[in-house]
Order: sequence, then structure tokens, then C-alpha cells
Amino acid sequence: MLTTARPVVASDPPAAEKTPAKKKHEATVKVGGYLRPGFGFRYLPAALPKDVFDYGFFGRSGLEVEAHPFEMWRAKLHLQLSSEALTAVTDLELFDLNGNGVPDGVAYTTSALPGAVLEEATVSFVPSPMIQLLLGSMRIPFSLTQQSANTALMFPTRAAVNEVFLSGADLGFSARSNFLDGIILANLGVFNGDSLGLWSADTVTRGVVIAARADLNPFGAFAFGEGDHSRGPFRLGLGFGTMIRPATIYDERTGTEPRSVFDLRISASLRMAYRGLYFAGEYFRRQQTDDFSSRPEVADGAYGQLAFFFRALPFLALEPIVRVGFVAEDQTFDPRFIGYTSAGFNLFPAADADPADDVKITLQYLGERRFTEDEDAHGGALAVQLKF
Amino acid sequence: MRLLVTATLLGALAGLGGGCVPTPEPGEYGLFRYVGNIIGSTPLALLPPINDREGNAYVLAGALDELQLKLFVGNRAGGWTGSCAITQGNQLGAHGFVGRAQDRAWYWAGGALVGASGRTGGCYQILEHDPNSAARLDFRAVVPWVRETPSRTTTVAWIQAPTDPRPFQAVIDLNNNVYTSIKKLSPDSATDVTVLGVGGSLSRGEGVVLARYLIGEAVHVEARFIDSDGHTVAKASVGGLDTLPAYGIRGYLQSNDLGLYAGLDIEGQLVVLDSGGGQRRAVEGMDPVGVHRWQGELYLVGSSAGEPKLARIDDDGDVGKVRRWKASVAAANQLGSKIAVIDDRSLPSHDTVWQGPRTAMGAFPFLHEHSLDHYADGTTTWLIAGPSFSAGGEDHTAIAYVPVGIAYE
Repeated sequence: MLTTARPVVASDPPAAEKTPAKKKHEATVKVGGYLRPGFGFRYLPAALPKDVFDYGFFGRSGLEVEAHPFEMWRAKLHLQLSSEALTAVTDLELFDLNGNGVPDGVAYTTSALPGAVLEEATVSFVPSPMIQLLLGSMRIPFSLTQQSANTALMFPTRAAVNEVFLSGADLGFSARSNFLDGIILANLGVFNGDSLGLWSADTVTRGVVIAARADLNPFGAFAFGEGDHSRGPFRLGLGFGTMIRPATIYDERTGTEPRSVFDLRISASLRMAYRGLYFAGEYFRRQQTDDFSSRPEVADGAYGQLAFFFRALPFLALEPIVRVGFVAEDQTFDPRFIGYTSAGFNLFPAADADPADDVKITLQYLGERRFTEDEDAHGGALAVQLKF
Repeated sequence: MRLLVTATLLGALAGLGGGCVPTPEPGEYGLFRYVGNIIGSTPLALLPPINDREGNAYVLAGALDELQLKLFVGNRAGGWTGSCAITQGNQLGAHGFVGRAQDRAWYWAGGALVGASGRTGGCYQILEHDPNSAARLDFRAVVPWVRETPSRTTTVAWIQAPTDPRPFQAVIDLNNNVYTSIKKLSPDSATDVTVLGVGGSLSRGEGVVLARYLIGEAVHVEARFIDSDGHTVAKASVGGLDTLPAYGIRGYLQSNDLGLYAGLDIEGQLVVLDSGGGQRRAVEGMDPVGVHRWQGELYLVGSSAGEPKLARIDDDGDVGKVRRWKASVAAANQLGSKIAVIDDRSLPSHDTVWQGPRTAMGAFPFLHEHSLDHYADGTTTWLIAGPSFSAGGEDHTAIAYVPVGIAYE
């Protein structure tokens, strides 16, 4: 929920001297955000004793500022703040077990530190309601969940499957169009590609990402966001995204060894909503090839999630939620299969407000099954989200 | 706006069109990379290379009967290091690679288990000394796989200090350099424990140690099946191995998807076993070199009449029809009279040409007592020999690492 506040400046004339504006655009600034504290636990039965059971409180919040200073120009800033955004090495010691003067190892201490992550910082030019040109830092609109706002997610975080293929924000340019009142949406962009995680730390990559996505909503506009809190009529959405990155990598130390790499990622999605029932399914594929290793890297993944939003009382709504997904990595040489399961429910104690999800309490189970390594992880979380 | 929609759809179609994964033809080579110079002439004492998940390459120059060894590590993005020569003891050389993880690999040589980093090229000995007693530890048997999970990186081994009468079976934590789940080998009355061979199946979470021991005057030969937690889950008697020398199985015992293990011994006979028991079988129709595993199937490989041969080993351990190994022949023919090689031993790299390239190991490409690494779909990695020269009274031969298309047909 964003609140509008017109900035007051020293040059403003006294109210009595003001004359009616002649179609003059009135600059606005909207400030909003969200807080999402909670408590969670993690259980890894096969881990080292210190890691078998871990629990504690967590906190995440966001600050959003939207400015509309000129008629066709807009700006948006979204910072995500976390109590444990960074891990820092706070102490370092070389140790020598046999006293021969040659270090036998390194002992170090780490601490978790709070920090901020730039989710979005964009300047946009909107020449018509159907066209928007954005420049800055933003999530590449590659998948359904990438296009959903952090506060509009079904679970507190995006599907783990999505994060395997793309994670975080990226710097770039995006042209977005809205055709036939939201029936056709198209996106075309160019990005730096830092959120793709291409190649190892020993190399430097030169080459931009070209990203395209098209969404078809044949039954009318279908806003991005996970869930149907408006309990609207039947809507259906089909989408397809692709990212292509022809790039050259160089050895970081010497700055030589140019090698051509080609990174291709595709996604396809289907979603539908009707009277509070919401379903979304997405498929992903990543394929990296190059001109020297003879080893293509291929990964596939998919997830499906289902929710049903209903009002138990006029001011109280419930939403059972479930999500199942998998990732198959390194398919050309040593496939590794990982399954994800999440289930729980959202509780909306201020459902009589508009929108109904300004206050949301989520209780969820998270499971990860490493089929190849025969290892499981289980977790649970209780989180409260308050938008303002 | 129509232009934007059209461009979006064209981009999507381009994405679909580029979605084909290339697979080389059998015998088709990739890029040759100059690894280094090895003492000796072809066939050289080398092991088939392996690769970690990131694509860093590991080349081990050595053999069980060669006390000297050297590990070369090729960075995924270029550059090689070749300064690792860790081993232990003066009886045995390199047993082979143990396994690999995301950006590391491990080998077993003499009584040492050694880890190497693909990122830095450095290497280090695992559990050289017992953390409790400080006694020097010998790795008597190492199950040839590394199980890497989000919480641990482990293998299973038999370790023994000089004062221990029998080895201990333990899970080796390769991240923390400690052992866990340690148990003394049973029975307590066993003496003269001799390891004949090891094998394992990572997908089944199972390792096998083929060992012989005495109880009084009675000779026992057993295959001990061990799970990834270090527990012995089955024991099977194996006949016909009462006199086979220590580490008499060439390379490792290889397993198929159904849990059948097969290995070639140094006397040229096939040892076949599973959890129900095992036996030795004679081999006919070829001079056998080793047993390979490829895509869940077992193959006996060798040569006869000047050609590489192979025969599938079925689920009962029977050896099928001996056939010409076409992929090996194709790989030999593809080499031609010269090859272009990238010399990236140190960066920046430069291109060079080698005359008279030939397989660096074995009589034919792919023919080795060790099974080959599954590098990618239809692809393994092999070593090619280049120019030879003399220095310090010894012959040296240049070797190159290369991905190559393979099929067991």
C-alpha cells in the first residue's frame, strides 16, 4: 500500500494566491513499504550435529518510493532490508600444528550483518498507457514470479525453482507494452546479466542479456501476483519468456583467453484464477554452451502452486497454499534431481480492508528432497507481513 | 507497439531454435589442451582424466607399480598446475581417482588419500595422521566415490595405523578432515588382512571392498558391502582368489545398475560378484585390459588381432559377443598426422601444432584398465601424446587433454 504525499517546497505560493491549474501535471511521491518478521526452524537429519536443528527469528522489510514528477516520467525505488543480508569474516588466524613454520590451515570467524538489497531503482518514460520504457535496476521479467511484487507472493519467498534459474535484480533497459487492455503483454529488454550467475569467479564476462517475454490473457487483463484475493471472474494466462546471452569470457587474472559462451534460458507458464482459486505452473530450462569445453550445461525445472482464498468472517480471510517443484541440474554429465515441497496457509486478519492482504500471517512448511544424494531438509516458518 | 510484440515473439522463437544440445560423434575430438611433459615414452603411465562438476580437469600421471606420480589440474577457463606429487609409502603408486565434487577431486596413492582444488590447483593430504593418536594413517582401501550433499562431503575407507592389527572401517569427512562411524574390522580373530580390490556405486550409496584374511590357517575371501554411513550391510564369499596378490584387481571393480560388480584381475580373469557371492571366470576372444562402466552397463574391453575389442557383461555376469570397438578405431583414425593444440599451461595461451599425435595411454584410444569419465552426453576425456624429447638422460613426452566422443559399440 503506497500513500501519496505531494512534496511541499519553499517556493510554493501561499494558498490564497493559488490559481486553478491549467491541465498542469501535479507531481506526486508515494512512500510505502512492508515489514515481514517471523520465526523459523530448519531440520537436516543427515547434517553434522551442529547443523541438524537450527531455529531463530528473522526479519525482512522493504521500502518503496514511487515518484511521478512529470506527466510522462516516473521513478521507482524499492529497497529490501534484511537482518542477515551479509556474512562477514570478522576474525582470521593461520595455525601451525607441528611448528614447522608452514601454516596447516586457516581458522576464521564469521558474523551475519544487516544490509540492504536493491530490488528496483528505475526511471520510466510512459508516452502512452500502452507503452512503458524503463531504465535502471529491476528484476528481469523472465518468469511469472519474477514479475510479481515481493508483497504479492503466495509464500514469503519466490519458488526455489525460479531462484535456480534467475535470482535478484539486474541493471538494464526494458520496453513494456500492454495491448488490448491487458490481453497481450509484451516485454523486450537488454540487461547486464549479473542475475544469471554465468560462469565461475575466475572469469570476467562481456556480453549483455537480451530478454523477451510475452503474456496472453485471452479472458481479459490478469494482473501479476500470486493468489486471487479479489475473488474475480475466470481468468487465464499463458506466458513464454526467453533470455539469450551471447558473451565472451576472459581469464580474470591475465585478462586474456577470450572464449565464446552462449547462455539460453526459456520459461513457459500457465495460470488461472476464479473466485479465489488460483493456480500457476511454470517450466524453466537453462542451457549453456561454449566453444572450448565440449560440455553443454543443461538444467530443467518446474513448479506448480495452488491457493484458495475465502472469507471465513467479514474481516477474516484464509488461504490454504501448496507448492511443488523440481530441478534437474547438470543433465549432460551427472544429473542431480532436487524436489521442493511447500504447504501452509495465509491468514488475513484485516480482510475487510482494500486491499485485503495489507496484513498477512503465513504459516508454512518447506521441504527439500535431494533425490540424487538421498538427503532431506525440512523447515517451517511463521511470518507476519504488514504493508503500509 | 506491434514492432515490440513481433520482436518479443521472434526472440522467443530464437530461444526455441537454439535449444539443441550438441553431442559429438564417436571419435570426434574437441579442443586439445597441452597438459605438460611426462617422463617416458608411449604408452605412458597415466590414468584417464576426470572432471569436477564445474568442468576443471584432473590428470594423474602414475600407476600402481610406479612410485612416482604427478597430478595436473586444468582450470575450467584455462591454465594448468602440475606441482602435486603427494603419495605415501614405498610399496605402491597410484590406485586411481576416488571421485569429485563441485570444484574438487580426490585420488588414492600408496597409503594416502589426496584432495585437489580445481579452482586453485593446490592439493592436500587427507588424514595423514590420526587426530587422536597422531599416528600416521594408511588408507588400505578407499571406496571409489565421493558423496557430496548440501551438508557433507564423504567417502568410506579402511584406515590403519602401524600399530593396529587390523584396519578400521570409517566414513571420511572430506570437508572437515576427520573420520566418523569408525569400527574395527571384524572378526577379531582375523589376521593378515589383504585388500584385493575396491569398487562402489554412488547411485546405490554402496561401496565394496574385496579382501582376504586368515582365521587360524583358514583362508577367507570376502566382498564386504558398505553403505554410505560406514555400516557393513552384506558379506559375500568369493571363490578362486586365494593366491591373488594384494590389489590384484586392475583399476576398480565396476558395478551396473542392478548391483553386479565386475573387475579384471592381474592374471587376466574376470571377477564377478554381487551381495550373494562371486566367482572368477576365464576370458576368451580378446586380451582383456579392463572393465568399464558406461551409462549403467558393464563392458569388458581389450584387444585382439591388432584391433580394440569390447564385449558387454550381462546382468548375470556373462560376457557377450566380442566385437570390434568402432569408437576406439574412429578416435585413432581421427587423429591424423597432426593436431592443433592450445598451450595453456601458463596464460596467456598460444597455439601450436603437434606432428604424429597418438594415444598417450594403452594401445588404442579408450583402452585402459580404469573406467572412463562420463564428461558429457556421449563424451569422455582422453590424453594424446605429442612430441618426445630427451633431457637429463630420460625421455619426456608431451601430453594433451581432450574431450572426445565415445560409444560402447
